[in-house]
Amino acid sequence: MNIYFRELKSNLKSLFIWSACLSALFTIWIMEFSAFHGNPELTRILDSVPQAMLKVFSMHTLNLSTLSGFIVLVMQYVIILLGIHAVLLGSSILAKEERGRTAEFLYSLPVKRNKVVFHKMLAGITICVLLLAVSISVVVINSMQYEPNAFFFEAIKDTAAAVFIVQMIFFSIGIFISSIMKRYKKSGSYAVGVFIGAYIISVLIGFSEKLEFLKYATPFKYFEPVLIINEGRFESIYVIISVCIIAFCFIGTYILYPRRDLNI
Amino acid sequence: MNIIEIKNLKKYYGKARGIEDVSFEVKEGEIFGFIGPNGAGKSTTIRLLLGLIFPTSGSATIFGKDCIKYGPEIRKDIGYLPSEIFYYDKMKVKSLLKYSASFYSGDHSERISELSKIMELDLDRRIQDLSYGNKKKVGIVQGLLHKPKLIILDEPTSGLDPLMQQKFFDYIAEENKRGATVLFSSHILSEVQQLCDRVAIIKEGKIIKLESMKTIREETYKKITIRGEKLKKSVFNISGTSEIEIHKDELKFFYRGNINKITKIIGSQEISDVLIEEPTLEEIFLHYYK
Amino acid sequence: MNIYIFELKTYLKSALLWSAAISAFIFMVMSFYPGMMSDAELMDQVLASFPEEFLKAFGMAGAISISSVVGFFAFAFVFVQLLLAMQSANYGIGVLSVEERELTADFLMTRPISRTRIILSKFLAVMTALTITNLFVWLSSIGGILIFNNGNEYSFKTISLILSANILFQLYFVSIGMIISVLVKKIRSVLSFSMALSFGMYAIFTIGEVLDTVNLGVISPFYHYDPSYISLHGKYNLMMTLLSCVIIAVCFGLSYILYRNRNIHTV
Repeated sequence: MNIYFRELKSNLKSLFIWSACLSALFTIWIMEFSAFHGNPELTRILDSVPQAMLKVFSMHTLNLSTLSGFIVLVMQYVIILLGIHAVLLGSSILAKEERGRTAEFLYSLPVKRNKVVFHKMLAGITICVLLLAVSISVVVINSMQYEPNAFFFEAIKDTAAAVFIVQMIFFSIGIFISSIMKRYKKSGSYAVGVFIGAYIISVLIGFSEKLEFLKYATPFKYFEPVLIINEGRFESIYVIISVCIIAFCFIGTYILYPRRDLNI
Repeated sequence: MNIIEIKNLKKYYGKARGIEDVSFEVKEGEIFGFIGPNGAGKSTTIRLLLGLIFPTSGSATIFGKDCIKYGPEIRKDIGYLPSEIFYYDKMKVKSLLKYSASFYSGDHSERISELSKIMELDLDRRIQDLSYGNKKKVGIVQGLLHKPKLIILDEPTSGLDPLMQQKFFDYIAEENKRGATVLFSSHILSEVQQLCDRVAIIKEGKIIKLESMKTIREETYKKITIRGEKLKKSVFNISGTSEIEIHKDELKFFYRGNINKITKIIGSQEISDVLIEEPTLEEIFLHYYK
Repeated sequence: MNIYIFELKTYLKSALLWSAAISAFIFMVMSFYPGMMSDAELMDQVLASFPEEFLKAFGMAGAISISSVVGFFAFAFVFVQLLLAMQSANYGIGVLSVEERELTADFLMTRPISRTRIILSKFLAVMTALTITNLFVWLSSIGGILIFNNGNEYSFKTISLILSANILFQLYFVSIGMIISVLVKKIRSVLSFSMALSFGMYAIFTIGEVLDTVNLGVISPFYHYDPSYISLHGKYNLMMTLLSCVIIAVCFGLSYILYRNRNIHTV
């Protein structure tokens, strides 16, 4: 358990900085919503803008004048930003031991390597959850001034779950990449590359109907805040795919990392 | 002429002490040793001379010019051999040496091959694939290829095998004969003993002793070990002896003074063996380190 | 010069990779234009019936019709800018800090060169690499338009204006990246900073677009060089461009001063 706590501690500063920056960002955004609050004209405009354009930003079926509608927009970016954090955390949590040369110390201790991996994974998941908790709290607290209704809280609850799954997907992909790549220095770049690729694919899908099939390839399409909030559902197929990715990556890491030659 | 002049140099990292009040000079053509325990401030002083860090107060000049203001200019004639070597990813030895040489005017390719041969350095390998000792060699060649007038060495031989160490020292001694001044920081006292003309001892950020090697040796004592059946401490307890120890049939002490006095006493005893040694620099300095 | 050449070689492979990826993206997106045209025409008709103020409130006023080549290009170009942002931020944050991260500072900074020369050489090398990518962006943008314009006309002048802003856009991220790298004591992961910086600026812009009032968006170069604005007005947003340049100059100046006086510590 000491490895778990040690790992948590060493990420504390970074977590604090991310929390502070994201909190500031979300606070400012939600505060600026006051301009839109209850503005009926907005609804009319949005209804007339054709799907094509809105789809690119995943803003179709959006009602920006309501709090819940606006929150959808905010949650889009919560997913992106927390996704970045997760992929970076995942790709570095194992690799940093080699980077900082502490691998020599850590892995010559009387501890099985996969135990270390397991505890680090646990710590990483905890960090992601903490960041998520901070983000959601900030969003909710700032939204209180607009007198949110029950629907809003439902929406928040559902999107929070979605964000968590996306975090886990990217965290697990990040940690898996770092465990199979020989050169630990590059693992971050590759993991981020996967992230950027997934995002670009989601953008391209917005541009063309023909690419709809690609939505299975990008986590950003699995749980779009728009769909979740307005239609309140998680499509089971996406949940299954997510679970498969996460399981594959975690198990893969757990098995492969101990077999790796450590490059010190 | 003084190649290096350091006056009341002080460096504080916030509240943490780097060096407190360091002053000394290094004369042209000498090999100057700079010794101290870990954390004493050796690296800090050197980094100040090279312009890697900036002083809190005090001054340092090399070749008569201020280290910070004229940094780029004076570094043209300085060769720096750092204690730990890190180089750019995937670089081959020869690429690095070429890149390093490109900073100094003139063609240094001959020097590079000459030095590499002496140090037995394989030019075609990737630096990251080399062992620690071999990486050290890269550092040595890189520091000397432009025939610098001042050579600054920071723990230069750690990681080299004894044969290579000797080759390296011989080379430095030769460069010195050709007119190069050497500033040599180390905590391996035997190296300092072998090479240096003068020595400064630094401890906790301050210079506690500045002396020529000759004086240090003369001022110090002989270490005498005598073996015999019936030796008594009291017999040897004259002025000039210190730290007399007796263990079974062996009597040890340090002696400073007229050598005749002590040899007479030794001669007057029934002994089976005697050993008279110069204390190692270690023993001398440990005295100062305390 | 040797530092410049050395640094440029270091960034060349990366620049070419980014160039290829961004060019591919541009071509892909432009290839969707013919398909989107009909949808877009519909929107034009509807939007035409709304007064300016309402469109403004949603930031739609800034959007020239995307049924036109230029309008569509401008609309899609934001994503190209996002990719450029990631690359520029990465270079900006990494270029100075690399010496201390990889511990090569002891080598480079003990050469007979001034810090000024180091920072200038590195900056120029990075800008050269980014300009190479910029060149590819120009080529693929023009190429994409030429191939997929579907017979519609377009203003080459407007397209050039949009593309010409790239260099300033990249400069913005490089200089902010550099000042960040000099202010932060020890950067262990360049990617964390660069991804956060680029996506952060992007997020600030998109949400800022929606809110019409002056907001945090003013610090985002996506806003300063908004392709939709340029395509609509036929020129740059002078105030914002000026602001942007001031920020670039200040950040670069500060980086220069701070780097010159930076204490380089031992391993």
